[in-house]
Amino acid sequence: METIAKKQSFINRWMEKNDSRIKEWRHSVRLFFKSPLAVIGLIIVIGFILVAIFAPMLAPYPLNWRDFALQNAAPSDAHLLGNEIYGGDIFSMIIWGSRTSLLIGFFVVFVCVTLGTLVGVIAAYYGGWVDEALMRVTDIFLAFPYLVLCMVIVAALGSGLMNVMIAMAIVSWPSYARLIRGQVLSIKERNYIEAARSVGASDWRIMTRHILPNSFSPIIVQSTMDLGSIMITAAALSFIGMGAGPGEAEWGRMITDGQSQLLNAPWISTFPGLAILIVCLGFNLFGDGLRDILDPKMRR
Amino acid sequence: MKLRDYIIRRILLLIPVLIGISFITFFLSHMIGDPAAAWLGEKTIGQEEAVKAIRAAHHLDDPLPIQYFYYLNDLAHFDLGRTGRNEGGRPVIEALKDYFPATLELAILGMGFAIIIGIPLGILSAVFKDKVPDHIVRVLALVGVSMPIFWLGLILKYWFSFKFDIFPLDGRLPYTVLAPPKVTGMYTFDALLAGQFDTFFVALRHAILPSFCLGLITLAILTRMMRSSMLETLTQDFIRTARAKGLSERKVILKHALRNALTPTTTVAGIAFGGLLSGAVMTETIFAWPGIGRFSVKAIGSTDFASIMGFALLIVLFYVLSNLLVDILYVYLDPRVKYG
Amino acid sequence: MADVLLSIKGLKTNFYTYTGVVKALDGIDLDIYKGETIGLVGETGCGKSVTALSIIRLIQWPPGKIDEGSITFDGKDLLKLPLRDMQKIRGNNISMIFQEPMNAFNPVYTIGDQIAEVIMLHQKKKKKEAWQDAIEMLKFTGIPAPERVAKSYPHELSGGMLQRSMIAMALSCKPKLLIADEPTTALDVTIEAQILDLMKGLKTTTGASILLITHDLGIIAEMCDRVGVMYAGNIVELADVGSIYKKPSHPYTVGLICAIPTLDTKHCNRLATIPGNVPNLIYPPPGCRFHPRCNKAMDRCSKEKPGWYKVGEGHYVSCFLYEGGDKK
Repeated sequence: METIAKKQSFINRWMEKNDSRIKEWRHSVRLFFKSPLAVIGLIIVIGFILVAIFAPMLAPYPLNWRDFALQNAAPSDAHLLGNEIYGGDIFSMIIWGSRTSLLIGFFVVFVCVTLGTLVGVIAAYYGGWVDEALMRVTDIFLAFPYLVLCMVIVAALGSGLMNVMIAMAIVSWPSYARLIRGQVLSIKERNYIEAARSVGASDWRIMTRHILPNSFSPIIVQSTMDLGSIMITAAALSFIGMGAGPGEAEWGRMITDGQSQLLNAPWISTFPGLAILIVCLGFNLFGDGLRDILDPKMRR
Repeated sequence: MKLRDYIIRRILLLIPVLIGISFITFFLSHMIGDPAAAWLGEKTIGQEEAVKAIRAAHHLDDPLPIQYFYYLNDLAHFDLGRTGRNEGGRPVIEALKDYFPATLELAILGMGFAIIIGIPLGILSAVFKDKVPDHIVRVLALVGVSMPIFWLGLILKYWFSFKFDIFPLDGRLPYTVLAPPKVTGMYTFDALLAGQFDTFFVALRHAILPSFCLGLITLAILTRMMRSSMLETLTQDFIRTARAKGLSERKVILKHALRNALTPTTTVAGIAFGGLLSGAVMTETIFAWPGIGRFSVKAIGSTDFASIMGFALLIVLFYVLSNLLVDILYVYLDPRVKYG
Repeated sequence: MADVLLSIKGLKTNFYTYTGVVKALDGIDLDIYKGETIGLVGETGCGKSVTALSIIRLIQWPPGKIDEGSITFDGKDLLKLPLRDMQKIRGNNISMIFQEPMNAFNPVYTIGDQIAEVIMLHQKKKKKEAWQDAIEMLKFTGIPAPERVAKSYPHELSGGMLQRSMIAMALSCKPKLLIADEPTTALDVTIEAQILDLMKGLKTTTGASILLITHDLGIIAEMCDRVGVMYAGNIVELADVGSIYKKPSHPYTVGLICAIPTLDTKHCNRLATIPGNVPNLIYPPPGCRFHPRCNKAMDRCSKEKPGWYKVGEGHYVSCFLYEGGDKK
């Protein structure tokens, strides 16, 4: 009994302490659900993630299933979206392909956020020549158009999905580093950091307890919006022959494979492309909605 | 400071970035791939002598810093190495010279689409904020940003070329039509310069689908940018002043708000231009457009390293220069911006 | 008194925001006479600027909207005028000066261009002629080297110089009414005095009426013939400048004047602050909007809205304390 009461009082105290934060959060959530587009985005994103997780249960045909008799076959009852050039079931392949897209997206974003946070925080916090040197490095990366640098790195590493992911992570982290650096710089100047320092808090503590939590929202917005474009770029690299190999269940590769049969079997390229478009749109709608509520400047 | 000094200073500031870029391309091409093997293709086995000769001729056995120095020296002399089998081993720079105009043509037309459609759409959206036109434009722009353009290219080609037969399937000109006399290498412009209007229209018809496809993402980005900067501008005090002067709403928007809202949009357009050129990789492949994008994809197919690096260097150079151009343009668009 | 130039009757302007309807103006009645300078004074957010913007119909929809009332100018109700006709009046018959001269000019055009624009628009003059007129106007407002200023961009000039240019622009079509919305708030004190002097001088030469909006009672005392005191979207007291200082009647006016330590405070029991806060205009207090803060509030104050009562020649108060006086 006593422990429950203790817990309750602890929760109450926490609620009191964070009252304004909770209120603001609730307000944000309400604002978010007021926008139909953002909600559609959220539904697409959740749907996509669920499809990727439950792919083995949802896909009517197993991964790498093929029936060479059905090469380029038109959509039918047994094969809802038709069959591709090796006879695979397009509908199943799109479902299996969602796993690849999700994996690529989350891997790249995870690496970028980690690396970007590390570099950005170090640059902003220590300033001086450290900052200068790190920022010049990011300058050089940002001087390349995104896709071209990916291409060049994959060309150097060799084709394959793993190398595509590595290349995209290498190319994407600098923009995160700059974003986080900017955030940390602006937060560093605020009074409560000064206050924390004056009572003798360590660098580590200031960084983890005060600065990072406060710079989260732009990172979340940025990575949500990026997830869509990362998936498109990965598909694009597969399309030009750098990512997944022929016949693999990867959306970009499926489009490429269908390219040669475009005029007599347009469904092969059409449906995987539609999947990319919808998922990417979902992430963008969701990200837009998030930015509207998380960025106070955008708030009406 | 004079404008000339400003430009010179900006160019000087580019040097460290360019050195950094050359460092990355050097690193990638000399440390990961073996250039000698790349030049000989699969024939290296049993040709150890030839490999040795090539390595010696290209200083590949020297320490890396010295190799880098040779590499920079080559770059300074526009020597980007030799192409692979696809291009018959001619110098990369020559292949780029041949193919670049076609890409530039697409990019310029694509940018034209983006500006002519995107900016008015952005204005429309801002003026009708939260009304039906705004919702439509916003959704369209988001769809545009989310569009895998290589897929869009195929779809456009299927419907508009194959099904409805409005545009030709691919290529720059049909075999029956001679290319116009070469001035810029861009067929549409060359045809206009030579006064061959028939050729111009044929070339334009060929270019419409690929350039629209190429420009679509930029179009969507410009629309979004224009909308938000227009909205921001419309809340400024001077807009109220303009209305208080008795100006018509048209004039308030097109004269007072537009000039101010264009400044940030220009920056975005400049940055987007570099992205536009790299998008050519996909559009050109789909529409069999003989530009540097298609050249680079072929080079990837045959692991022709020098060509890929040459392509990348050219695009980066263009990217950097278009950013520089935008910064200079900025000075004209916004009198508050001081050089430096 | 002289002829009425502009007459506001029962003006209600509301702002429809996400959190509710802000009832910014709660039935304003005000006459502006030809050739006078009338002041509107009150706290931030009391509706002074909204009144000014309502007169030239620059309340932005969304969220703002003029819902009721009439504004008669030259025999016409401005609120019923088609937009095109209203645009012919703006900048021409009625012009306006804004608070922050630094932001009120378009940063990408020169001062001369912006003044010439309004002349070309309303007087149908050619660019060259309009430019000459613009320089004349700049000279008229006492700007040294008007040619140079005309060719300058706003960011190249000081705040005081910009506000002079703003006045030049506002007067360039010889308006009958000049609305000045806190014209000196953003300026240094020394510049403030210059600008006020300039406005005083110009009034005598042009004969225009001025509606001066400010929160500074000192400026009112120096500049105005009459003054309206505003509180929470209402004008609560209207009088000659002399009588308002001699005999402030509305409890709010008394509080306002007593809050200034330098003025003569014989009406005040103490150097007072007005207790409480400015009300939330989404849920304004019923009856007299001032009653929750009023130390003389009666029961009926929270039930009925007081009418206008006369307490002296041209001196009206909207407060039940003076119900014995004549009705307006």
